[in-house]
Amino acid sequence: MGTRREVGPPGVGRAVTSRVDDDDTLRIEWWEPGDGEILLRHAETGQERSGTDLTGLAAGTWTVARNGMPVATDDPGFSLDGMVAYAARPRDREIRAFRTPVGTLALMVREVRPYVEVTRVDPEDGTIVVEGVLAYGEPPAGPARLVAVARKGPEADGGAALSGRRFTGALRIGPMAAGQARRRVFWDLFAQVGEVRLPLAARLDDIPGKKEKVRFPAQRVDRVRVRPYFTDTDALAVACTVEEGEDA
Amino acid sequence: MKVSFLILNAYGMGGTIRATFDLATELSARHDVEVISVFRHADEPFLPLGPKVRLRALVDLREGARVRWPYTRKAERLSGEPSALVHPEERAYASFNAWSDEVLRRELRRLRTDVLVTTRAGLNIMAARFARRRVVTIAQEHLHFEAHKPGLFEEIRRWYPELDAVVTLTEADERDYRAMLGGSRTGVFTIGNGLAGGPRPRSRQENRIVLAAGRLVPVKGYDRLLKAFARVVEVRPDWRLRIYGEGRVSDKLVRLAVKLRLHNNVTFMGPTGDIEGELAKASIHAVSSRFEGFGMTIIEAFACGVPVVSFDCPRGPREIITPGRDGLLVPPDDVDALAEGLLTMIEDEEGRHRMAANAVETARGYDIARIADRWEKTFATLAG
Repeated sequence: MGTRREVGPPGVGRAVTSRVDDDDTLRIEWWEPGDGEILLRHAETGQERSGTDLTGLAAGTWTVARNGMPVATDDPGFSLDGMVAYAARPRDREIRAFRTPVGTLALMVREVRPYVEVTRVDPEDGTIVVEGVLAYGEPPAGPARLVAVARKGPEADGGAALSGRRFTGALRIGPMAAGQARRRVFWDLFAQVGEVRLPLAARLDDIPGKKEKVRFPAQRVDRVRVRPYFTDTDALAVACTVEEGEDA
Repeated sequence: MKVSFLILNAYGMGGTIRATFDLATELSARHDVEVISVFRHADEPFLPLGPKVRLRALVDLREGARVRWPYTRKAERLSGEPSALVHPEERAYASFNAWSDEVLRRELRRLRTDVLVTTRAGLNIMAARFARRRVVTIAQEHLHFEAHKPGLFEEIRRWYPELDAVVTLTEADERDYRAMLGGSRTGVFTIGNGLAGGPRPRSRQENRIVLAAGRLVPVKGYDRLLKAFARVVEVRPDWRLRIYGEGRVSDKLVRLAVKLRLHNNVTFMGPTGDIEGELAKASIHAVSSRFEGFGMTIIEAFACGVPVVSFDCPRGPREIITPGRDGLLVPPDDVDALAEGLLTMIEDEEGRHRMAANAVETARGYDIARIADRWEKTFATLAG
C-alpha cells in the first residue's frame, strides 16, 4: 500500500469535522478556534467564492482555503448513511465534502437528476431482484415496473413496487435470454413509475468504477449466461452472453 | 554519525521500502543518512523520502542505462550469469546476478560509514562477509525467523555471527535469533516499524465497513476472511467488507465471493495510495493472515481510530494488539472464530468506540520519532 505526507501542522487551520449539511452549507469544526473567511476555488476554472453557503456552486472540484492556506482535515468528509439522507431531498446538484489523499478538504459538485440508488441485487431462481431507494426526486405517482431495455433491441419488464422512497422489483430472465441471436446483448435497467422512467445506479458512496470492483453471480438460461453488472457510469445493467459450448 | 541503509530496490512499493524510508527520513534530522538501492528501475522512487536523505543506486536497470567504461563489457557479460553470492533460496534471488555480486562486493569493501543497516537476508549476509571492520553492521529482518528455507538458513547461521547486531520486528523473532546466535558477540534487538509523523484522518465509527488491506496472496488468508464475512452478513446484512490491494489470487477471491453470494456486501477496491484515508471511512480492520511478520496496517488502523479483529497468527498481531483494549485476537485458521470476533466488534458499539479511542493511544507508541530514538540508542550501544 502507498503512503502519503500530509500538509500543515495539527492545530491551526486544521478541521476536526468538515461536512456538507442537508441545506448545502459547509460545516467546519476546528481543532483550535481561528479567524478568517473560507475561500472556495474551482480547480479547473479558478472561479472563486467566499463563505460556507454552497448553494448553486458550479459543477466540478472546489478546493477550500482559509487565510490563504488550504484547509487540512481529519474528517473523511461524509458517512454513507449521510449520503442517503442527503439524497432524500429533490435536488439538481449534489455537493460532497471529501478529504484528498494529501489531507486537504475539497468539495465535489455534480449535477444530478432523480434516479433509484441500487442497494441490493439478487440474481436467483431465474429472476433478478433489485432493491433501491429513490434519490434526488419526489416519488412519482402510478404503478411501478422494473424495466430492462436491450441496447438496439426490445424491452422486457417485471413487477415492482415503490413504497415511500423504497423501490423493489423483479425481472424474469427467461424472456430476456429467449431467442438471443447475437453473442452478447446488454440490457439497461430502469425503475418505471407511472410515466417516469428512472435509471438504476449505485452512486451514493465513494466507489466509482464498480464495474471492476463488484461481481454479481451469473444464472443460465439454456446456453445464455445472464449476469447483472455495473456499467462505466455505475448504472445497473444485465449482460446476456451466449456461451461457446463444445458443439459450437 | 553517518548511517547507510542498503535495500534491494528503493524505487518500488512495499512495507520494507516504506519502513526504511520513514526511518531514514526521521534519522536525517540528526544524522548524515543515505539509502543505497542495489537496483533501480525507475527515475524517481514511488514512496516519499525526506529531502535530506541521499539516495543512490548500484545497478541501473532502466532502459538505455549504460555501465561506465571500463566496466561496460564486464557488466554485459556478468549480467547474464547467475549470482554466486546470494543463496538461491533467498526470495529475491532472481533479481541478483553475477554483475550485482561484483558491484555489491566492491561497494561494501569500500563503503566508509559509521553504521550500515541492511534490510534482507541476502544483503545481511553480504554485509557480514564484505563490510569494512570499522563499520557497525546491523541486519534488519523484515521476515520472520521461520520464513527462511533450510539452505539459506544455514548461510544465516554461518554469517550472522559476524554482524554487530540483528534487529527484529517482534520479540518472538528476537528470542529465536538469540537462541541461534548463542554465544556470539552479535546483539539482538527488537525494534518495530514506526509510523511516520503528522496528523491523520480519524474514523468516526459511523460507516458499517470492515476493511482489509494487503497484497491478494495466499498468506493474507482472504479466502477465510470471505468465508467468515459470509457468516457475518447472515446476522448483519447491513455491513460491508472492502478489500484493498491486488495480487495473483485476485480472480480466485472474486470467484469465491460470488460463490458465497457476497456480491451485495464485498467490494474489491483495488490498490490505494491513501490507505489511511480509506481506513478512516471504515469502523473495523480485519486481519486474516496466516502469518504477519509485523503488521504495519494494524498500527495504521490504530492511528486512524480503527480497532482490529485479527487471527492470533505468528507473529506481529499478538505483540501489537491488546485484546479487549484496542482489538480482538481470535484463534488462527478458525473461520467461525473470526466471524464471531467480527460480530462481537460489530454488535458492541460502545465497546468499539472505546477500543477506537484506545487504539489511537496504542499507535502513539509506534511514532517514528520514538522508533528512531530506539535505533539511536542501539547505534550508541554498538559504537560504544
